[in-house]
Amino acid sequence: MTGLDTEVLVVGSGAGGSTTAVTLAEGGRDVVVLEEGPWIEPDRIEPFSLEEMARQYRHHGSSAALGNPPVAYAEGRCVGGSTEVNSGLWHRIPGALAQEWRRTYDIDGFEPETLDRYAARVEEWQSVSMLPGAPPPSSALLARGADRLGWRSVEFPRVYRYPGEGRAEKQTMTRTLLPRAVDAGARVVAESRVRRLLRAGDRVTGARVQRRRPDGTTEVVDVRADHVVVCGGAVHTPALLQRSGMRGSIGRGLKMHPTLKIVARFPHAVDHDDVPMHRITEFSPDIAIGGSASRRGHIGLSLADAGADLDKALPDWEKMFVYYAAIRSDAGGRVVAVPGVPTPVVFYRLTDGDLSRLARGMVHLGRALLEAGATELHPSVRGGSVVHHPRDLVRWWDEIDRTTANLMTVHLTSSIRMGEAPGRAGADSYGRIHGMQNLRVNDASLVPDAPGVNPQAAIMTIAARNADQLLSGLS
Amino acid sequence: MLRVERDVMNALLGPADPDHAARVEEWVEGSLTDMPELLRAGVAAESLLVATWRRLRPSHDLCDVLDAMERSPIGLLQQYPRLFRSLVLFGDLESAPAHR
Repeated sequence: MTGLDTEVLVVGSGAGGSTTAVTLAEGGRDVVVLEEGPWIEPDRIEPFSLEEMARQYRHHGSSAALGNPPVAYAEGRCVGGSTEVNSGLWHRIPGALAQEWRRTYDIDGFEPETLDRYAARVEEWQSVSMLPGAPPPSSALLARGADRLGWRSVEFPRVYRYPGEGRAEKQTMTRTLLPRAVDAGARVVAESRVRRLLRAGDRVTGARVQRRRPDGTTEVVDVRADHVVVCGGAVHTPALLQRSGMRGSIGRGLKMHPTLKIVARFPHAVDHDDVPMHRITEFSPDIAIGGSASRRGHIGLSLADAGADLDKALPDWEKMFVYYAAIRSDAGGRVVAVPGVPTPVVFYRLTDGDLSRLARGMVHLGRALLEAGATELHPSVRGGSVVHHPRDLVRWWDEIDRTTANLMTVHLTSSIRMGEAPGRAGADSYGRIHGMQNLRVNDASLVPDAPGVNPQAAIMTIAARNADQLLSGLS
Repeated sequence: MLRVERDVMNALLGPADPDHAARVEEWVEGSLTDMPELLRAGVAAESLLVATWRRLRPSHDLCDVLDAMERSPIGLLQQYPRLFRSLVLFGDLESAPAHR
């Protein structure tokens, strides 16, 4: 391949990139989508397995934001991005949060009604639906614990179709929007990493791309485009812009949901094939409580954090499940592209308030799990007490600190906020980079703050709105 | 994967069926190779520190060295054994038959 010409180049094929591509392609525009990772057909790889980690996650799932404490994070790296590997839970942007963001960042056209209209469109595309029938035990346990404490809990819909006979098909981008975009004429080029954007003053003219050929060798090609929309996620989008000479507020203000986990042991076996659909929403949006992937490896890792004797504990792993408390953080982080190094460095500085909120979330989660019938709780806290009774939960207040908390996250946002507020936003109200004529961002980077819930709905809703605005401008 | 890192992996895994050990090693090696470059450089630097420690104190068991690092007040030193323990444990449990 010597090069490509297109009207719109979309960099990245995850929730934001796919939404952008299908909107523009079905609107009659010429679109090329570049994706760094491989195209892997849906359901070819067992969810949450080692193979999935190796082939569909960036860095085998082993990335970390530097700080005290560091925060491990994971993100997808394949066609479809993180939608191929996440839990598929769907939470619309709460109206109050949308109003707050609109005011704080001076975002035009960000009224809750507008967002709801786009959310409804995306939900139809994605077959967002409730699980038919009763939730699995791991999910029902959360609801039961909340009920007994008089707390609110909600069963959330997911991006799943249920064609019958017990089969559930996750509606990932490779199953939904990307085939539609291709049918409408878009070209999706996998295993193609954009090194940098090509610029001429305040315009971009395309991208310099390192493409992996089928025989494993690589070539460098230029893709020429009239418009470029970068959708590489909250870490790699700002890094690409920085590598292309754009700094300022680009990469600042990164947000995430720092998360701590608990392994709960029950007197009976629990399902392990899925992620719970229930969330305890009593403390939302500051604290979210839910359940995680709970294969034997995940349970072993969390048990090891608290120093459990694995030889004694693991034979009973089928009676255990991993739950989490995640917070909206006061803190912020930065993404920094280092010259000559392909992977950017991510920094995140937790505040004392964040740690206090995490401890509070863990105590709440512990109470709910004990009410639900758990007999033993192991926190993902180094040297953390194993708790059998609610009165012992108070110990975690002292035990959770910067040296002991083993934090992780799968939600990163807000590294190039949208809005008209000078100095606070890297992009305008529709994702166009300030100071650039034809360069836009349309992914998690734009979400003005961590939403306190799985951000896929927020990303796709905002992306559909912004893509529509771009399409109307092109038309 | 550096030789000392292979030794660390084997020390943490313990006696294992050769096929199983090979699967775990493939996972650990793949994870190290695929790490962000600057993090990988930091891990490699600490691996060289561990190798030097072993050369100076050959009688010290490698697991004891890792325990000492984990008890260290220095965060960077604590993270090294945690990383290897996590990688080896996850690879061990996910590569093994469902029940052991």
